Amino acid sequence: MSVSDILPIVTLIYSDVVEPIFCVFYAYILVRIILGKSSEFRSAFYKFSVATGVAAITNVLLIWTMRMVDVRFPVFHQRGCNSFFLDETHHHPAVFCNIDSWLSHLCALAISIGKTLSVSTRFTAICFAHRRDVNPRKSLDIENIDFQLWEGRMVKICLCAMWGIPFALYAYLPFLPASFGPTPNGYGVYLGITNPGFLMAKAFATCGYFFFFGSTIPMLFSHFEDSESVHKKAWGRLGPVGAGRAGLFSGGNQPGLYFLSLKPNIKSQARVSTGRHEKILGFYAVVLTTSHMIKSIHQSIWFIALIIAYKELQTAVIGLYLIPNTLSAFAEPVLLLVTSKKLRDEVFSCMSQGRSTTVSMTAQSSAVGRSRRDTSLAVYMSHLPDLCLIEICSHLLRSDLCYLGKTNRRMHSLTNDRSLHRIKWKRG
Amino acid sequence: MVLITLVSSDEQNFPVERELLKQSGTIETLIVNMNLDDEDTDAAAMPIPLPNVKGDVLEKVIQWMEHHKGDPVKEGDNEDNNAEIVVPQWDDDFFKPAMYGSKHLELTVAASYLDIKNLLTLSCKAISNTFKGKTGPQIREEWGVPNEFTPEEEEAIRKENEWSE
Repeated sequence: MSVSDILPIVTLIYSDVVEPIFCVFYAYILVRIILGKSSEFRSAFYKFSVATGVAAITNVLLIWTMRMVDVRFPVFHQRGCNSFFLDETHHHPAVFCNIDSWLSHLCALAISIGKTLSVSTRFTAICFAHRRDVNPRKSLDIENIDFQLWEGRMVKICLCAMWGIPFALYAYLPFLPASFGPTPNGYGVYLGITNPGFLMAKAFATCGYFFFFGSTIPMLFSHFEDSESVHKKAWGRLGPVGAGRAGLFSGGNQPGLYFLSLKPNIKSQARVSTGRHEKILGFYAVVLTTSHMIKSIHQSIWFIALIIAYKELQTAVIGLYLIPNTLSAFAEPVLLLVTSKKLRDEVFSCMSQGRSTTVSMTAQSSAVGRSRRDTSLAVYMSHLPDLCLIEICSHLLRSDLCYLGKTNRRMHSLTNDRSLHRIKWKRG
Repeated sequence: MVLITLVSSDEQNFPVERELLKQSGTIETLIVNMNLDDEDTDAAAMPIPLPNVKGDVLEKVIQWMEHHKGDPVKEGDNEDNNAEIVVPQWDDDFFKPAMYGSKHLELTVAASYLDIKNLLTLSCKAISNTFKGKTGPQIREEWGVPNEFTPEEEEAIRKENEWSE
């Protein structure tokens, strides 16, 4: 069998079976985000991601439904009358096909707007964090930056616009006559509504993609310029000794200067995490933009082919639809999983619980099992106030304090607290 | 008997005896500031919101306060000798089911937030007991704390603590 024989089968399996399964996984991730207890999932970024996900899943399912009832299993045999406004004698495929096409266009534009908003939240998180970090008087709180810039009201307005604008733009679609092309079996295939309405719909969609390009690409360039200038400032300001910290700030590793991070220096630790966090945000924004850009290019070529009535190009573009659509629809859930440890913990918590049941053999290992079952324990431990941890340390012996200091950076600095010196010198 | 209503972060109401709440510095200050002790004030109509404490944790705190009603607050008390950390039997049984779980840590944070000194001390003592005689990696494993140190840093800390071992 040649590639040309296998390709249609692979395409058929993917489009009819695999894609709906992907949708189920995507929907599961969205449900975990909605039900997740972490405050991170309440941020504007996740709200936009959920809204975009809903639009993406709906769009894939609408296209799948249309494929099933209009291509795989011919359901609508009466193709003659194609108006939305029915009379008593006809059951018209046009009503279903037009509504399906309308919702699909609506979702596609909503996805473009949703992705622009998602990338915007990443951009603001990166750039405003920079500005805060340059100003030493203001505290660095990159996790909460979303809440300050994207307040509840602003998020609601954006979400309404995300769905409202496409709804208003495409409101005419179901009411125009449908267009059906001939097929060898005589059944015909739905081509959309009659021109120029369909051309207008494609023009709106292309505008949506250009809006996405026009807003996200300058944001990305601005971010890279911004981060470069901040790093230069940090190096210049800190001088040769502080250069290690500047390296830490950018997430880099400066051999020989690691002792700087041994000192209980909260700022330098925040900078390590800022560098890492910034890279993750940048990675998310770049990959999401690229994947959607591929679909944008595909849709723009389709639009041009429609304008110049280039049939071969149209056929080729329609044949390639699956690839950019898959990249665009499923890049986001993959990116969410790759970039967010909290989401991975949330989504895969069932699996980790299953693994932990094999661990409890002795008294000590049962304790380990308990801690592994409770995935949020480390998070709670990190949220325990310093005063509580010092109180805990104050009941320990010198040797225990030394061991506790070896657990992690925070414990190391806390066990060296001045108030515990009496234990180090007197007890144990 | 005067009852004061506490409202947890998940909006559960807990009517609690006024006398019990004297153990909590935070609530005591609120009661004084809100004049809830005045005869003219309708204490029942003025619930105290505790946005940082969840309902199930607040329930445990109230249970603990009921058992320790009338206990004197031990300021800076440290009766532990070198060998063991003393936690009374009742408190040990109270903390044990939640030990190694986020609930115990939530209870400790609540005790700190509500400024209940005896509960905070005992809760911290119970956690200290789990650290006793354990090495850094053992504590990390039991409490699920990730290792942030590079091998070089670990070596530096080991040298730093050489004198005490």
